Amino acid sequence: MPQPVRTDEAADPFAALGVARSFRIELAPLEKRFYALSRALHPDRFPGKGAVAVQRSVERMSLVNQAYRTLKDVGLRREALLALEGFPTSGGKMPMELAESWFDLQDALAEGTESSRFKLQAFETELHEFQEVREARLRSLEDRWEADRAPGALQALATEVGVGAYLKSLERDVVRIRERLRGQAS
Amino acid sequence: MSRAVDSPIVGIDLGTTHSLVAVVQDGVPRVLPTREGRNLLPSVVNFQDGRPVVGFAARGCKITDASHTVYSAKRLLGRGFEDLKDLAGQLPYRIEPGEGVVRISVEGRSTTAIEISALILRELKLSAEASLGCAVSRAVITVPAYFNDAQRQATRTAGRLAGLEVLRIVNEPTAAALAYGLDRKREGLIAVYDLGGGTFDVSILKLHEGIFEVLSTNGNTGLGGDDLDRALAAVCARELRAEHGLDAHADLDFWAALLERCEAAKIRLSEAASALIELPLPGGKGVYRRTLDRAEFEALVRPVLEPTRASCLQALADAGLRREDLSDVVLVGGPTRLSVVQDFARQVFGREPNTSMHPDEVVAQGAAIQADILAGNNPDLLLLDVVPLSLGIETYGGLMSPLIPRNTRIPASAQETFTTFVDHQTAVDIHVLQGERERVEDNRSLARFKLKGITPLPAGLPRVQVQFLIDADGILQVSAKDLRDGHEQSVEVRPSFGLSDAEVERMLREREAGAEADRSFRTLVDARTEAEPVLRACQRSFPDGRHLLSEEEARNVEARMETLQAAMVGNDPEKIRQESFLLDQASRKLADLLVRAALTRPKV
Repeated sequence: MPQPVRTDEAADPFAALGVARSFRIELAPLEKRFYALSRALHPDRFPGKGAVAVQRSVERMSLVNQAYRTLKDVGLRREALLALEGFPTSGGKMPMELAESWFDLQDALAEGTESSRFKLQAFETELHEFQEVREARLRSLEDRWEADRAPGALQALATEVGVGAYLKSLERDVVRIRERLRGQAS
Repeated sequence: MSRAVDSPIVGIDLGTTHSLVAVVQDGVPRVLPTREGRNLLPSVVNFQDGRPVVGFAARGCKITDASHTVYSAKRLLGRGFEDLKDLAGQLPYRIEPGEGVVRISVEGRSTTAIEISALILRELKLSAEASLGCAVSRAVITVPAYFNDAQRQATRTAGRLAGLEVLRIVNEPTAAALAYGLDRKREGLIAVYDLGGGTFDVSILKLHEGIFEVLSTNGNTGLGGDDLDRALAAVCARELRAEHGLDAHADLDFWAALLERCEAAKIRLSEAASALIELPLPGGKGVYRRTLDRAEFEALVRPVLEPTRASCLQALADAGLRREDLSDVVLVGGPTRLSVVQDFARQVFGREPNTSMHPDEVVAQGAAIQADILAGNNPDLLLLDVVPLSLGIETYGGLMSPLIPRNTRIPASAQETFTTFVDHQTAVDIHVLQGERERVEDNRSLARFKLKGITPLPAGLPRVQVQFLIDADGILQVSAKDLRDGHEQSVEVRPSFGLSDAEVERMLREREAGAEADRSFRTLVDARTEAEPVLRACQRSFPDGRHLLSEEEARNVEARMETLQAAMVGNDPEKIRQESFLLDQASRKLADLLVRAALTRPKV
């Protein structure tokens, strides 16, 4: 089976919906804009206008739909804006703040000690706190860019988003560990 | 364009147990009567000496002639034999493996669910033509929202075989929401709980200023009212084995009769407190008799309904809503008449469901409204729908890599770039899948295609970009481009569960052969349409003018009216024309006398 190669041919969702490039988008006007574009571009508006017109409408509408989906979601919107500004996000590393208690947990699990459960709990608490602090950091970085449009904040954001991807995989690991421990207990 | 005026676009609900055709007239959706004079057309085809009969006439044969009668064909659309093994013992007709789609065997002749569906669609087309008095060649057809690409393709092919240009495939719950929203002038967030004969769908929609936006959909294409009948029949079959040592499945006619009695009992229990199932045993060995009360029925049915709960909760979650956010829950489909189904929906959504719409007709009405939108008559309305299942491709390790997630608005597109992994490779095989699971084999195989004509280069250097585009019907189109030279690549898509182009062509040719039958029917319809006003005018004026005629003349007119009426029920267009002419002659004097009487009447 062939392996797909990702290409960064990201269309500009902000341009597609005709809104200014920003991390902060009001959802109500965005929906209004999306509805107006749908009324104009949807294939249902081109009956009997020929296969070419319909096909064009299908293609354009698919881009508008994709753009709307991206802009509605805070995370997707952030990634799209960073990519457009030339800061593609890449895979992150384990944050230093979490490393110690994570490896503690791994050791306890490897030894099969009773303390695994407490270590897991401790890690979950730390992870949760870290997530909250990170959210606040993301918002303030976004605010900084909104204010001065200087690339410094974007670089920092791109790194943070990469960390975010790593955190997601950590969350999945935590769920798996929790289930495993529960299985051992019963 | 005069064509748009002359030929209305009809909306068709192609159902598992019943089908309907509707059209918008003067802004109101109206279900058209079938040629049997009913609103519903049973989705049943009976073959008499190889000739198909569709509708109530065929449904009557479900028991008397089970081996030549095909029903619930919709459950087989776009599926392979492997998918249906479990169902095989339950169906009174035989299914067999075939290349691509499953085959249905009727008296040694092999047919497909697509052809059966085409016969039903054709009957609806003819009904609409007879009712509207003009040719009908374009339609909007509804499908369960949870139908996959293969099932949608199959429906479109059936339309084509029936001589219909299918302008749009619309999801049933979306169509229902359209009819409901327009009729009740409602806005807000609604859930449509659609339990049909053989399929279940739930959709969450936002209704706002004429836009009907589907936020999410979920369902089960193998769960419906039929399953309730089967749950009852299974209980009866167990008792038959225990008490009479009888294998209820052994005799096709007996099994079909049992299913029908169970269906009748189910329908009765939507109103009565208990129902009797009574059935003579094969070979005159007595009678099986059993009373079923509502509590027992509901206990049997609840486990069958249970899977719909998870679908509803998933749809709410995918829409990012809690059930409290909904302003309405609309019930659609015949089985939602049952109080046990209404209770279930009430419990799942925590609110009183709305049962105000006609559960059998609302989908066809919605299809007609969408047809009216496509005719350009309703510029304020717009449907925005979603793709029900994630679309992806097979990658290394037998995993599915999703490209378009479920509940993405359609039209939707995704691009993926492929390269080679062997030096000088000139073709790449791509396997397209639909579903939510990680492993390839747990998902639905949609199609395989080959990207050919790649320039021979060292492995990993070529770049072929493939575009996956899901159109407004929820059907996939694939195109490919070589990124090095920008040339369009040839893409040969081989559907995993469909008819090959050659097969469709063959069927279309066979349809041409059937066109003569169509033409003679057209002549019949025309003759009836012409005779109708002659008869009606005479029926209206005769009571007023009778005294102006001699007794013999009056009796003559009366006799002619009767014979014309009889001829019009028959199938001989020549006879109808002749009788129509004779009545016209016989009543001419009456018409003259009435005109004269009106003129000589003193003016007031």
